[in-house]
Amino acid sequence: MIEVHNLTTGYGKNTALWNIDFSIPLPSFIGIIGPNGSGKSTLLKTMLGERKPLTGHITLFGQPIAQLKNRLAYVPQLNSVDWNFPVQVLDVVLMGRFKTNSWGPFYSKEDKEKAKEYLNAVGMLDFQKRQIGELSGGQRQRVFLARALAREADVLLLDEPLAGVDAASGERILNVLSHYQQQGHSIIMVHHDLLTAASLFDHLILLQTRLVAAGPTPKVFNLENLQTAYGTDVSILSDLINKLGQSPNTLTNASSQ
Amino acid sequence: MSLLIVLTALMFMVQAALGGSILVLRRSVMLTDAMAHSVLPGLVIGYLISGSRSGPEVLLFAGISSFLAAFLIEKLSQFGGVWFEVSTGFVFTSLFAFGILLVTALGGNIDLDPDCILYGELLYVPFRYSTSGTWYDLLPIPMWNQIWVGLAWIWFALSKWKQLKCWAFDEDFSRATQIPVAGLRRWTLGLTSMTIVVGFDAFGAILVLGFFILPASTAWLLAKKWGSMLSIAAIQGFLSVGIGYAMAFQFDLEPGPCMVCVSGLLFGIVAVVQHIRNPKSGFRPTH
Repeated sequence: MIEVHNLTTGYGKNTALWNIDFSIPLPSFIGIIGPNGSGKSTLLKTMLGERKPLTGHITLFGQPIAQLKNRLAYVPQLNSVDWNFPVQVLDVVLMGRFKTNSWGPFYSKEDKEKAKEYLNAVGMLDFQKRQIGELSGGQRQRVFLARALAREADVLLLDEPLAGVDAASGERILNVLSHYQQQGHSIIMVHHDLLTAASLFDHLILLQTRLVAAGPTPKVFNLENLQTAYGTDVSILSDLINKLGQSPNTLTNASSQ
Repeated sequence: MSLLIVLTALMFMVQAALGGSILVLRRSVMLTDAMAHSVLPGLVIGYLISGSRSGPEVLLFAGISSFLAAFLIEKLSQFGGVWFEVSTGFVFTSLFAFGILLVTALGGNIDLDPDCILYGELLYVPFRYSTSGTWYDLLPIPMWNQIWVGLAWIWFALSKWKQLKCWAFDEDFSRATQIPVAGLRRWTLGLTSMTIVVGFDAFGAILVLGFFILPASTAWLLAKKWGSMLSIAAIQGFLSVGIGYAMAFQFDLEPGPCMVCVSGLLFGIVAVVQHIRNPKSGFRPTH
């Protein structure tokens, strides 16, 4: 269970969030959706404990989030780092194996094997010796995902992992995520694409700096809620809902190309 | 004589290569410049208390005042909503100006003139020994200072290798991974201020910055791994010291500026060669 109580944030460059309050059972595959600037990333970063809330708190499995950092793994946005950084693919994945008590420059044999295993899972093992700047956007995202998986955490938090990613990488990422979910883990993911949101997630959090709705996808993803969040013309949204109702699969495929 | 000067400079390069690489990659290397100038008030206060130019009090107060500058700059830009460059600009200029005022106000009775603050006194290194009657008298004091700070840097870089690499690459992920980001930054800045204090003596306020930026930037053009970045930076520093000192000796010039010029020249050569090899991708082999 993830519970967010009366959460309000608003500090520096971050979008403010007002009085967010919901709880969602875990394990589940949760999507955070909403228009640009609605506070999706801010909510994710507050869940990670990177941003301190002004009021309210978040608990995970009944415990405050600060005590659970070793059970969380984070996939940041691609543009949050400098890809010219002198580091190779395998080194990046090994960062996921960092333990608080580890000392000195070397990783254990086990850590290296695990890192390679997860690099293989995202289909990037052949690139392990490449400098990260040589990779494409989709490949970079897969490396970030492998690094998060290498944490072997219970909850994976991703910030728009499909943004700027080619179709093949996108498909690979979704496959890995669904495999991860089948192992009984939870995923919380910021997502910008309404077309795929309904079919991807079993729970949705719909934001517009306030909480519009949160809960099981069928209850959240309806015309009224989407209109509240996006304020778009009713006809466009109802079109969207109709199309999704008729053939969600064709739409999913179309949007990932 | 020459050997002692070169050794002192070499030991300084190890520190500057490690600190410079971290700060260049974290994109806050100009902090070094600010910290180097902010040393001055601490230097004068330390001098007033101890009555000597190279006592431990001087190093202590100078270190405190440069660390304080870095701390103030960061806090002002974090909480004051001031741009980082702006807060850097006004913190260090104020502190430097205050230091100059102290020096000139105390003018007559203090053996500290603005010249040696700006240029350093590398050539006087071999003449400043302690007189304690122990093994500490075997090497000049500035050299001992370089050794202690150099060892502290090496210990820091080796023991915190993984954390430093992760933090320098991806601060958000590091925080989410329980890497003590604030502690790493404080240690980096603390050691940087010690390096500046011991380097200040030899090279002066402005040249110190050159040694932080040039070797690390050259390494950044060439390196594909964290370890090679640090080692290339150190090697570039060593070459600059060697060639620069030979040049100074040959043409009877100041060694410090010669070393920085050579370092800048090496950076230029590497940048041009890289650009010719990869005309499409600027100075670096990748994107």
